[in-house]
Amino acid sequence: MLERCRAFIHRLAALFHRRHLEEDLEAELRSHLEMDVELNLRRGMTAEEARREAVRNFGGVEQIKEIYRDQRGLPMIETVLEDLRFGLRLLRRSPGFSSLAILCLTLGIAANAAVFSWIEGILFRPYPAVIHQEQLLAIAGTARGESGPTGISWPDLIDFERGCTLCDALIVSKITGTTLSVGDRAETAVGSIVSANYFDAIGVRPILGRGFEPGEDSGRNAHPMTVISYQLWQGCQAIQSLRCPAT
Amino acid sequence: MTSSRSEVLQGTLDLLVLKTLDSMGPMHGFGIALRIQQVSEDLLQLNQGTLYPALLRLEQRHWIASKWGISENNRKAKYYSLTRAGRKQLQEEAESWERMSAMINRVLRTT
Repeated sequence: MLERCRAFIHRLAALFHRRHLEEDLEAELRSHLEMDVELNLRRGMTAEEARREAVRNFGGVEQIKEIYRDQRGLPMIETVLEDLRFGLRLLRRSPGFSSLAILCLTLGIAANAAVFSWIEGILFRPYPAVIHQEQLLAIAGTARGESGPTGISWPDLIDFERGCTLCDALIVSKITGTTLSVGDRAETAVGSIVSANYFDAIGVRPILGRGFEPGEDSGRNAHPMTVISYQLWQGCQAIQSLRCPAT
Repeated sequence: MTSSRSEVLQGTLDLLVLKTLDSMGPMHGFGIALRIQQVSEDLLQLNQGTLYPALLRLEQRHWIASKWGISENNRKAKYYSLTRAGRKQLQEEAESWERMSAMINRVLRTT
């Protein structure tokens, strides 16, 4: 294990002074061949024979160098670096084509990202604030002979709530528009008419003030109540209306 | 190339190099190659070049150390020497080699 560690460190270090090590290898192998040539000359060979014999004894010089280099560094990292460098050089050689390609990729990736986040928002996680989105179910009434959903009456809803054992809670929500007058200005606003258990059921708590309390929507304690969004609240403050409601 | 010459078994080259350096002291690559061929009486068929990756491997494991020096005939050469860890490794590898060859011999002799 210790040896492996050492060998790895050695190889890693080799990545950083490759040129020096390459010269070292070159010199070492040259000195080897020259010594062999010298020995062969002393044995009485001609210069030509001596060189040929030395190379033959050695085995493929370039091959050995290749094996040596693989042993010396970390071939995988080196290959990746090599490829990166090659890629960059190619990009630089034809800047027009490169920038066009990069632009295409950028647009492609951007469009993809946009579409996917849109799909995620609309199809997979349409209500990010709701804690258990996957348990959310929409029920709408239909009437024979009519296409599209119709409204459900309040007594019906009460009946549903009583009879529904599958759901933890049944909430009612009807999207509606309203006019909002702040100071001397009037604006249209979008809101929903909801049942009192609305915020408790979807698990959303207001940052400031409170949501609805049970029994506030019907019966003796019922009275109109509004919870406004953070944006609207901020907007109100921007208009600097002193009568801006806090909840 | 006759059949009585054998190729170096994978891994045994390390052992041969360590042993050579142990008995001869610091040597350059060419010297090690010559020595191994001499001692094996040229029965070992060794491409001298294959020695260098082996030397590097041993050096990476800190079993041998290398240093540039001047050869007997005034040539620049890289000298390799055994380290203390290398000596220990040699001992271990020699022992395991003995065990292995003894076992193989025993198997071959039983009929």
